[in-house]
Amino acid sequence: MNSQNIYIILISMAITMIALRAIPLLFFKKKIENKFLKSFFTYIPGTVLTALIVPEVFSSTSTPISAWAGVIVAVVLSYFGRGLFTVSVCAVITSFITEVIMRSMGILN
Amino acid sequence: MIEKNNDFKRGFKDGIPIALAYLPISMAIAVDAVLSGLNFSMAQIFGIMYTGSGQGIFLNYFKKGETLALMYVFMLFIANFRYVIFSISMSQKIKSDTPTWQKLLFGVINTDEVYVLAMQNQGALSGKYLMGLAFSPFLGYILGNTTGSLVTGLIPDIVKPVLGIMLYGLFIAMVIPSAKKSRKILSSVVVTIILSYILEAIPIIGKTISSWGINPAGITMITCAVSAAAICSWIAPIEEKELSDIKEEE
Repeated sequence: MNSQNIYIILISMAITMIALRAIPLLFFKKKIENKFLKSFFTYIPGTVLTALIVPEVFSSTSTPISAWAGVIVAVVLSYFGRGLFTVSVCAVITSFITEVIMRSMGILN
Repeated sequence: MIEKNNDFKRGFKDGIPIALAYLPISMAIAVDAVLSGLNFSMAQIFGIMYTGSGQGIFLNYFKKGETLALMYVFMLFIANFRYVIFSISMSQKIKSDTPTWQKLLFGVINTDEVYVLAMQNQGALSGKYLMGLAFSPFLGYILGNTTGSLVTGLIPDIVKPVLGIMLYGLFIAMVIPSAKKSRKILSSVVVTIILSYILEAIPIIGKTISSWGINPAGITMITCAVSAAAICSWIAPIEEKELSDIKEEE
């Protein structure tokens, strides 16, 4: 991809975000009452994040095994209320250690 | 006039805990962005986007080589449409004599966390307080982003193969707390996972989309997220009371 294309993508995303955040604040006065829409917008952040995670996460490291290790640690830690940064750093460390062990055992090169 | 300036300061101070929480997050995302091939100035525009999940969408598509800007914007729009709702409910919380430029400035740097904090205040809020409240987290985020894009070069090569999981760690940490709080959210997560494997398992879908000259990964993702949310809101609509419970914890 050429860099002009990347700039176009980045700038159009940034403008979209600004518009999304600012415009409704200026024009809307009424509340959304439709139950389906309200539910939909409550569900959407979670489903978008999940769709981003699965299945790509399992190919985000050198081998699915180390990715699995990282995912399990991340799920457990965030279940017990650890913050975003702790969770993701621990996931990285876990995957790293898993790969180091696998390399020393000769399973991964 | 002096009193109003104090409002900004008070807001700024109230926002500092959020700023501190944002700093390492934006740093991690910026590191991933530079490793994926963004140069320094690209990474700065990337940070101004100021949305963790939106930036995740960018990285995910970008790594797959998606070139169509519309795909990025569309997914970003869907993922962050909730800001329309935030803004609508905020507009009822802001003092009615607040000048438009203050509303606008607050609006463009509003986030989930700022929204939650603002809504916990009693009574109507002044524009200056809200601007302060939103400004310190923004500053923290930008600082983290710039730092992250500068230090990426210092990261040893041996760690790089596993750094890809960092972003997914962030996503997991964003999803799990609300899934833990609400069984309905948890179900929607499970539905999304199932759908995404089903779509992945049917090769004809990917081939058809590719034949239109579009990268199938993005379409699959939007389809999964939107249909899972629609199915869940149809089968298990979220009641008013649950809505406030879920929001509080975010």
